[in-house]
Amino acid sequence: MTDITSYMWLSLFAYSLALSSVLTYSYLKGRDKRRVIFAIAFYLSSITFLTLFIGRTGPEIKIVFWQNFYYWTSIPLLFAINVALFEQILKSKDFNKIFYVFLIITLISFIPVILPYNTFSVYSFIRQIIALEVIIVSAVLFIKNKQTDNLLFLLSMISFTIGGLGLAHGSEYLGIYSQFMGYIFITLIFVKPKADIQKGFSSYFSLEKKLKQTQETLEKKEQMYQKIVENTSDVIMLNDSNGIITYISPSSEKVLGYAPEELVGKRAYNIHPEDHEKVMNIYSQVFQDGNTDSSNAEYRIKTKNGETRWISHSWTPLFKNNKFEMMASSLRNIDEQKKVECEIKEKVDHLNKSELATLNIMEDFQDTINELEIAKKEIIDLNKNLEKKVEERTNEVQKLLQQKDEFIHQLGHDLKTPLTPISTLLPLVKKKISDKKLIEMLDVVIQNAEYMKNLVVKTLQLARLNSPNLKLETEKTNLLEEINRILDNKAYIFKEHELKIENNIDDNLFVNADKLRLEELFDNLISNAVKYNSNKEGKITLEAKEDKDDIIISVKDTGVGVTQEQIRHIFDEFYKVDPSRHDLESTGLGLTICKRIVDKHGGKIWVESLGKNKGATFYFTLKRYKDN
Amino acid sequence: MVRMIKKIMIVDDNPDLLFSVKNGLEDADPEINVISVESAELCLERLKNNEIPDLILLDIMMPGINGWEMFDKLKENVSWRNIPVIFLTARTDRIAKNAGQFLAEDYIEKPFEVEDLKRRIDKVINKTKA
Repeated sequence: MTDITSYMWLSLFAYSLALSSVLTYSYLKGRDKRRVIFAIAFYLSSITFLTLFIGRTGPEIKIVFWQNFYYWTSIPLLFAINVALFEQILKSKDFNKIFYVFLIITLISFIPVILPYNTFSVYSFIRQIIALEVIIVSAVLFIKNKQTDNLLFLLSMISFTIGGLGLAHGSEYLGIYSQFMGYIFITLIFVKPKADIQKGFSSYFSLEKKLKQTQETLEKKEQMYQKIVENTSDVIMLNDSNGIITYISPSSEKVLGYAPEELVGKRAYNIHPEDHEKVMNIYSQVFQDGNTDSSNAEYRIKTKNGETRWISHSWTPLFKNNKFEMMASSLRNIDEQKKVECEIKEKVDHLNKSELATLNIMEDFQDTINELEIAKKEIIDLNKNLEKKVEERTNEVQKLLQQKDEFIHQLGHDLKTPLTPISTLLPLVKKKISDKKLIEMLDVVIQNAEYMKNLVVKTLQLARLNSPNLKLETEKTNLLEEINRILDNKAYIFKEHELKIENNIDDNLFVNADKLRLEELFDNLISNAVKYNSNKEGKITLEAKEDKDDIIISVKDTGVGVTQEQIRHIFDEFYKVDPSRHDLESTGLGLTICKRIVDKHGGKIWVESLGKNKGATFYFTLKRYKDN
Repeated sequence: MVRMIKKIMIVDDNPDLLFSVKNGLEDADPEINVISVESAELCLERLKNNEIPDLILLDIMMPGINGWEMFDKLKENVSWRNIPVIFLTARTDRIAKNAGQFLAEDYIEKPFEVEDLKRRIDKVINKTKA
């Protein structure tokens, strides 16, 4: 007979089989044994529903084994639900054990199936007992953990129980619908919204692995933090709400000088006496008043071996439910830092002092500069005065030099004037007398008068040449013309001394010379040649030749000549070639005058002689005249 | 050959010089007649009295009218302009020398030899006459 009820059993069979297939697929994908448990359970359940469908449509099942098997197939689902519940209760990390227990119990529950008689009542009893147990356990778990899964287990189990009771008492519809409801509740466990997923039973299926990983990560992190705390050079310290040290990291031995076990349980370490009050204030602020304003302090401590050390203390109060729970601190050794700070402070102080000193120096420097400015002004004034004075002095000197020149000229005039009558009249007197002795006496007078006249003239000449005021007035001078003029004036002297003049100078030679001085120069040279002529057939030879920019003029005589020793001094003032002789003819100034004149013209003068009585040649150079 | 008396006027403030030059020159050359004048003023007086010499020996440094001024006066007057002048100077300075060389006929420095003076006088007179 095929009616609606039959199809409902068939649809439950299909539903159960589908659910089983989905879970199997899920198991194969995720390898979560929880899924395989339910997959087995639903698979067996589907057999139950198939049997019920066949029982309604086909022949009645008469085989005892089949009847027993049919009863058993509904049992594993109860076991599966229990596995889920007991996993929550036991909080077991090892699911494998639960899985194997499930398999063993399931296998044991199969034993009544193979018995030769009908065991329907046994399974009915077991099912009712387990259903009651599941209802109680899931209810308790739901109340305790407030998890939807447990509520769904509870509801599904109630539905199954009602369904079972309905079937047992002939109400097939109630049984079927209740079974449906139970399945829907169980299915809901797998299709709950995601937000609830972590709380839900499904976490056992989908998130177990992640949870485990998270737990492992947390453990690793905890270990890492532990390592960090224990290995950091800073000290990590925890104080409870009473200020008692509950934890202190191993670095306390290095930083504070005390091992952690020496400090845990105490209120504080060894604070330096001078900073004791300061630290106690901080502690009382934090622990008594709950003040969280400041979070850092620097103070000194005393280590176990009595050493004073600066530390930096940073702290954070930790609250739980708005209530101060503990203080977490970090302590750092800042001794080196403090030393450096001290040094820097000292240096800064020193620098400040230096700056002051520098400022003082700058002020002094400014004063010095001001003084220098004043001095500079004075020097400038002095310089101006000096220039003025120098000018005045120069003028004075100039004036004096002029006066000197005036004096020399005046002296020359005054000395020469009386000499003229003497030298003029004496020879006349000498002519008029015949007394030999008188003549002899007059000769001495005449000679001395001549000498005096010469000396005056030459001294005045030399004085004039030595004067810095003397300036040459050089001009284009025809050498031959000028020499002829001079020789002309001297002609009577040559005649008197029976001297021949040989003038070999060319007509086209022009020198740049001061004619007045040139005459003086020739005067002296020719006088010299006349004076020292020893030869009866004496001769004076004049020559001139060009030499680059110069013209070399030579005056050659046939006189006594000069020795090498005499050559060395011949141009010196008052040098006489024969000092042993009382020479009234030579003043010793003539050649000195010559040298001065040549020097003033920028030329050279020298003498050459082949030796005694072999004559001498005087050479001098004058600048050639150039038209420009 | 007609004997020509050479009338030489010497102007100098030094009487000793006048005396010695007069004696020296006249002794050296009998044809020379030396008129000694002690100042330029006296010389001008003589000239104005038509006492014109063949040559004037003129000293430069003289009190009163000096040699330069005297020289100018000689050259300003038509009748005196042609009288040759020889300067007598003790100062061998350039001005005197140049003046002697280019303005006057000649110049001679003191102290001088009478021979030298006579030679220069002869030279100037011969030149003037020629």
